Amino acid sequence: MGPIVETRNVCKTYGMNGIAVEAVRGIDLMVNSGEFVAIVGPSGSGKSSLLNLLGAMDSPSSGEVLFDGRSLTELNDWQRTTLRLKHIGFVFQTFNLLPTLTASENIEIALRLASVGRRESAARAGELLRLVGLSPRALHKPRYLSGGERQRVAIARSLANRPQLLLADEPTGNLDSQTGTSILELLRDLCTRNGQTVILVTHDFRAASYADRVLLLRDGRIHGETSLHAGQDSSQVLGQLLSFELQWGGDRSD
Amino acid sequence: MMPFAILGLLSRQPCHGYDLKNHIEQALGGNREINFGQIYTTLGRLERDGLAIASEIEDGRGKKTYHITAKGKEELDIWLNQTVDRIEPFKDEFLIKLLVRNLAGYGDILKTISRQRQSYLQQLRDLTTLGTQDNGDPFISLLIEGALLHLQADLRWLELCDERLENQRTDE
Repeated sequence: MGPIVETRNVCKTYGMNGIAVEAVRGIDLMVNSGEFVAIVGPSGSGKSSLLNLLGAMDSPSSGEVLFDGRSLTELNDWQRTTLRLKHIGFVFQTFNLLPTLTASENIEIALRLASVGRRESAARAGELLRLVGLSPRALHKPRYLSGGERQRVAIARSLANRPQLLLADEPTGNLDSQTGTSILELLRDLCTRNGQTVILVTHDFRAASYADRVLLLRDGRIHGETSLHAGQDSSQVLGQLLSFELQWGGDRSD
Repeated sequence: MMPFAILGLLSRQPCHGYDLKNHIEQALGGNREINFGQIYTTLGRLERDGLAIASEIEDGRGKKTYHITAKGKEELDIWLNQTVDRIEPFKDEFLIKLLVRNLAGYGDILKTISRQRQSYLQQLRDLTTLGTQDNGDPFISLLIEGALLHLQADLRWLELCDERLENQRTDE
């Protein structure tokens, strides 16, 4: 099975008032099924532009984006919309839930739009809320949910149509450190246990460390890549940290 | 840290070496075993420096009890109230490696940075995994969190190194 998403020398230039901004400058990347990839870069590095290209929300100025082996340039607007609805899940920094709908309804609407029947949608929404640990909050509207809970609903929604790819754009940006960690753990879990392919776009190295592979973005180009393996034995790690703390302070004349 | 940990414990009440070992191990959440050698070497130094004294108790087992002296209390106080400098003699071994490479004109600086980045990221991963296991101990959690924050700063600094040194190379 080929890569889920691939870009070939993809470029994106924005023009305004005669000034061209090259946001993405020739990126080649590939994400395989079941991978958790993080794209890290500071603001202005082209992260959001790249995400929009990967998520078929925007078209490149040149180069290609392929989804499941199929070039997106071949697709018309309607086909791209359907692709996003059925094959890609989105999680945003600002959650983007519909404020007049309950948690469950926010998930159901994604299913109804994909022509899933009412009863099945409700059942699937229930299943997803259970998956993200929010069953008790099913009937709450977003304004009654905490930031972390809203993001969990957003994640559940993104999984509604069993997408091949989950795209997360700074998912912990509006969350406190502890809540952010639980969201990252949820994403990690979805990949490790359910084989969900995840692309996380972030400026935060700590968030990126949850990935299997980290791509470094700067000025519209990927300038480096690192593979990570699962955390080593914790007692060893803690032991190392504590060794430092136990060193003799001050007088080292011995 | 060890001398002051012991002085701190003695400032509460006199202790045997064994008590000191137990208390410190507990403070570290039971995650680290302290050996008696370390304890007694430190106690010896404290005695030598007049910060603690030993007295033999009448239990026939020859176990000594250690007490903090007035001088010891003073030293402890001074140390506890001293603020910690972050601006110290330059210590980052990695930057020194970069400097040496640059001086010697030897090896690929950008590759060195890339390898260091890999190492830091993996350490970050190892620590976040550790952090998820609820330790319950606030000091251990703070220690882990501190290390995580330092690593994030180190990684941001590495990006800066990479950017500036890459530009320098293309300018040459």
